[in-house]
Amino acid sequence: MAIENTLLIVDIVAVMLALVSMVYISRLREFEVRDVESSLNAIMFGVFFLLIILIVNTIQRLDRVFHDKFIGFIPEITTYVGYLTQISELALAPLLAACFLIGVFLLRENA
Amino acid sequence: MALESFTTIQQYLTAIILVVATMLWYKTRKERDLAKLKSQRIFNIILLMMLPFIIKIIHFIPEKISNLLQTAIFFLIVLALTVITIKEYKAHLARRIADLKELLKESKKHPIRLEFARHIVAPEFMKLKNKEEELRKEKNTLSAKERSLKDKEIKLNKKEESAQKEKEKNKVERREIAKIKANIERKEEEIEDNHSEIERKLNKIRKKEARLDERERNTEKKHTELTINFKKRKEEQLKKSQEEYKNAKNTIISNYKERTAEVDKLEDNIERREAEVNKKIKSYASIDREVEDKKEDIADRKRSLQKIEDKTERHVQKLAEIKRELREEKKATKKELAEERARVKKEQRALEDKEDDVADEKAEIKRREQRAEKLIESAKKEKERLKDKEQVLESREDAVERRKRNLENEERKVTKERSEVNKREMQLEKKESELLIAQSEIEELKLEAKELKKAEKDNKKSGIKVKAR
Repeated sequence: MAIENTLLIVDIVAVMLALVSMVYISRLREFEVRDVESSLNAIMFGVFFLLIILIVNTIQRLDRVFHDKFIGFIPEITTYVGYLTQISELALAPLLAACFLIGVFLLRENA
Repeated sequence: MALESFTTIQQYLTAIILVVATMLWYKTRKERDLAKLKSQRIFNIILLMMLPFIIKIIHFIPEKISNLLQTAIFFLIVLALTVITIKEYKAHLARRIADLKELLKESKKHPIRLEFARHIVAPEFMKLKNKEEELRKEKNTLSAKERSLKDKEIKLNKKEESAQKEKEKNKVERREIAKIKANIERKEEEIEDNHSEIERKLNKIRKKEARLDERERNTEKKHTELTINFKKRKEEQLKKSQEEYKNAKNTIISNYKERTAEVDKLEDNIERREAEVNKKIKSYASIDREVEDKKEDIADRKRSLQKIEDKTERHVQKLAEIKRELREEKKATKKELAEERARVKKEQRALEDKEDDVADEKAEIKRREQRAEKLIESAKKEKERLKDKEQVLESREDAVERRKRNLENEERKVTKERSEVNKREMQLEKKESELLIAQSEIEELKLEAKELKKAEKDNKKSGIKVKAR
């Protein structure tokens, strides 16, 4: 249980850091050449999907740690969290990978 | 089952795509010159994201450890990414600021300076000017709105003053009403006092009437008693006199009878006794006279009683007249009171109408506010209901989908089981056919064995015969 709690805190911090990094990547675009900007946009999309995946992981962890408290408010929370994880595994993770690949391809083309 | 296989496929796919992307990245870095790319480090770190996805698809690692590793790697990658992005951003920003400062220095004549001024500073300056104009317009609109608000405030203040005046008027009218009410209450109290005095007088009259009735009853009782006594006495006296008369008569008759013989002798006595009888008759007459006198006394008493009755009747008539007068006074006072009450009521109604008008205006404003609030609340409620319904529908749809999936799975299982059963049936049929073939073969073998035995027997018999020959 203690490990779960620490993992939950780590997940929350990771979400915050991903958000901050996304903001700073968007700011860094100003200093890049226009040819590289599209690839950086693709990378930013990838980071956005990563943020969503991290949020889903955090929600899953919250359900594990505070399941007794959440089940009072949302009785079918485990099913919903299951759906979220399925969505993240089926759609978001491949999209993240595709975004990174597209970013590298664009960089290769424009560089 | 299909979903799980699909998720595993997707996991493998993501890992492969990420590996391909990293390979491509390192290939491009080697092959091409990426000096103009300022965020190389970011690419390096982001492509490390393949590690947790690779750990995810490795199934021989225990689930807990793989989860732990994934979260740790995610955290470290994100931490590194943020640190590097912040550092890079700060470094680039410092460099850019230094370049700009160089451009702005007058001593150094930079060749791009004029172009920078034309293409970058001038449009920014124009943008700033446009923004200033927009701000001025907004200020003007705000000042106009402030003026309109001030006008509205003045109007509201005027309305409040008029409302306060009306309130003061209402207060004065209320005070007057209170005074009128106090006067009415005083008059009512006076009337009540008069009424109580009248009631006291009536009680006294009633008491007097009761006394008179008692006296009448007493006189009637006395009258009846006297009449009864008189009759009794009269009857007693008559009885006594009759008895005495009868006795005397009887004695006289007896004496007369006794002394008829001695009539002659006693003629003198008879004459005497006749005189005595005459005297007694006279006394009886005097008794009759006394009775008549007593009757006359009773008649006198009756007259006096009648006089008393007349007097009482007069008193009763006087009391009735007093009652009538009191009733008339009561009626008059009631009429006056009713008139005064009607006046007060009219005044009260007029005041209430005024108050009602003010209250109606306030109520209308409140009603409008309440309607607006209700509309907002109803809209919110409807939104919430729709949301709830949508949620319910979604949950139902999910349940239906789940059931469909379960049914499909069950159907698949059933079809699999059926196919397996069919296979087993086929196998059984094959085995049965094989068994039947084997049985038929066994029977044929048995028949052949029997035929062989028969042939052997025949051979033996023929052999014996041959030997015998």
